Amino acid sequence: MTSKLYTLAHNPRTVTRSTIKRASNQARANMNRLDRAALGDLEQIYRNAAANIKNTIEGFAGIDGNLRLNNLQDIQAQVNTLLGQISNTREALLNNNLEQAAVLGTQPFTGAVNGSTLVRVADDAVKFTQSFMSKDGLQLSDRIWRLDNHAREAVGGAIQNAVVQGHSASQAANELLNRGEPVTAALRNKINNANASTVGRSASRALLTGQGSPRHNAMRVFRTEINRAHGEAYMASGAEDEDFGGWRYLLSPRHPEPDICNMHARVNKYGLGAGVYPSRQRTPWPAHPNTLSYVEIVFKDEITADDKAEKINRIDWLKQQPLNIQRGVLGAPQKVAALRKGLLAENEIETPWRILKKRFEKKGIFTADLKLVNPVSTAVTHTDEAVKYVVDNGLSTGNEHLVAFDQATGKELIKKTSHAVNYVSFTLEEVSLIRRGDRSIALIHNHPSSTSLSYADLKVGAHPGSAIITAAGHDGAIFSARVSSNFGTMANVEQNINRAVTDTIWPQINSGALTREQASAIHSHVQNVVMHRSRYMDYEATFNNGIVGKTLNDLGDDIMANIYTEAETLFNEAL
Amino acid sequence: MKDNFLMIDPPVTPYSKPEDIEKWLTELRALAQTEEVNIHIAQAKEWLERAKKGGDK
Repeated sequence: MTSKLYTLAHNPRTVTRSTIKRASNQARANMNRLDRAALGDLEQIYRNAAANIKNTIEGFAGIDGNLRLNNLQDIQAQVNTLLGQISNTREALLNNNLEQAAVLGTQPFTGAVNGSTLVRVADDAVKFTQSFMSKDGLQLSDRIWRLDNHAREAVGGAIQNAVVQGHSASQAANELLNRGEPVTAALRNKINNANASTVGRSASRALLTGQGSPRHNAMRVFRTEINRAHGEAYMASGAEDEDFGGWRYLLSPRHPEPDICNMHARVNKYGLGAGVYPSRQRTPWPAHPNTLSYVEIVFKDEITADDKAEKINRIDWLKQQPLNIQRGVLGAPQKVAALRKGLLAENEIETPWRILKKRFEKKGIFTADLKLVNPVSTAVTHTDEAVKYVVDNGLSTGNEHLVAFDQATGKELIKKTSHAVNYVSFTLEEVSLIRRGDRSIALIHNHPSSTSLSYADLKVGAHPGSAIITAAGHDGAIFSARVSSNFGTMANVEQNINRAVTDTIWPQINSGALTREQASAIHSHVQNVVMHRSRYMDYEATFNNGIVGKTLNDLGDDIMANIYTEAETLFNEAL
Repeated sequence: MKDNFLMIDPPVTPYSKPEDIEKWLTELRALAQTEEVNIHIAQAKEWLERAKKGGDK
């Protein structure tokens, strides 16, 4: 990591590369805004259409307020016309946003790559997105056709069911009345199903409500394809750069649960660094529809000797992960069991269990034995126990407590408190223990303030024997970092990251965008996110509705995106 | 065995009230003056100076 910094400082193309990195950050922030705006516009199209459909249906109401079966075809025809209007407006919106996303993808390389090349690249990215065929054999036009067909079926079905049910109930009621028998309450309710207002509301709900609704599916297609256009344009532009070294898979900070993206973003499969791939063809992005993840260019001289030495295949990487990551990546628990028994091959990571099961059985593997007998891995057990221990003791004493254990053996190495609110002290013996390069130690301590890891924590986590350092908040939040071993000795990083974040946040306080209390809650977290994005460490935060997470939610994505980008820019400039 | 290294988590930030940062400085000065403690003292002084100016450098 040290060599990376010094190389950057003396390379004549440093300024250009630094500009590209900053512009890439900005492009991602702009993409997030474009995504939100596009989905907002799309939402409005569907809501307007739903209101028009409801009005149209109500226009067919008879004197009794109900719809007649003999009007059903006319209603369906008018509703289909309105759904067709959605299709036209939506297509124009999608094409416009695909173009904007592709241009945003090329912008980081303005000045570094020929301008006419970038124009062509943006155009090609839009065409690529429009003609791209995914694993299920569908192109964008097929997905759009399915959206429209689904809307016609969902809305048409809701109208038809209600009208037919109402009609049948009316007929049944007439027969009862002709026989002089009373009409039951249940039958009266069914007649009311054909009430025009009720049918209008049902049609509106069918269009708008819930996962799997036409509106929801359209939003999924929009997010997937707009992001695809952006990523393809970005990668096609960056591949033209003379210092191009690879593509880093960036896990979105908003990524909700561990899944295959965690592996793509962390595994050093090619010896180019964690989550770095040598070409577009080898970059597994996007891993799934509706993705919130991006890619970022890596320049040749960012790839260190450590990166090359730490190359690892995906199976070995997965075996080192805690259970939640293994489950998130592999899905079926049987696949996790197969991984742990050494039965899973690298090319089977994404194979569905139903297919893998047959393959294993053909090989004579008894698949009923593939169970997670102990569903919690040793590492997770110890981490969870350690978190519980330090938080329980911290809540009872108000002080910091620390537990350290060897990840390989599970053996507890340190369990202590210094009876102080703001620090834990180490003996010489303990310091020499975490300095040993042959150890893989997890250090877990509590933060009574419930804020993220301090810089001093990271320095402890940077000792050669420290694999991971964790701070557990008293409000349920958990912050962890895997820190490079050179981190603690690197000159000026502590001062630079602190000043970069402080210089970013103070003006925001003074402009009234956030309070001093909010700033204090997120200060360490922002430092750690910026250092994570700048590759000084792998940082993860689980907020669990704690003070940090609550503050981030209160401030919102836009303010936080600006803070991260500005702080990262200042930090990299200072280096 | 004598402890020689402190992993310090400051209870204040650059945006804390000057009086809180001063209180933290007093606590730091009461500790054994190791390299780590001195780093935190220097940092707290920098925060204090700026906090007194309402964030101006």
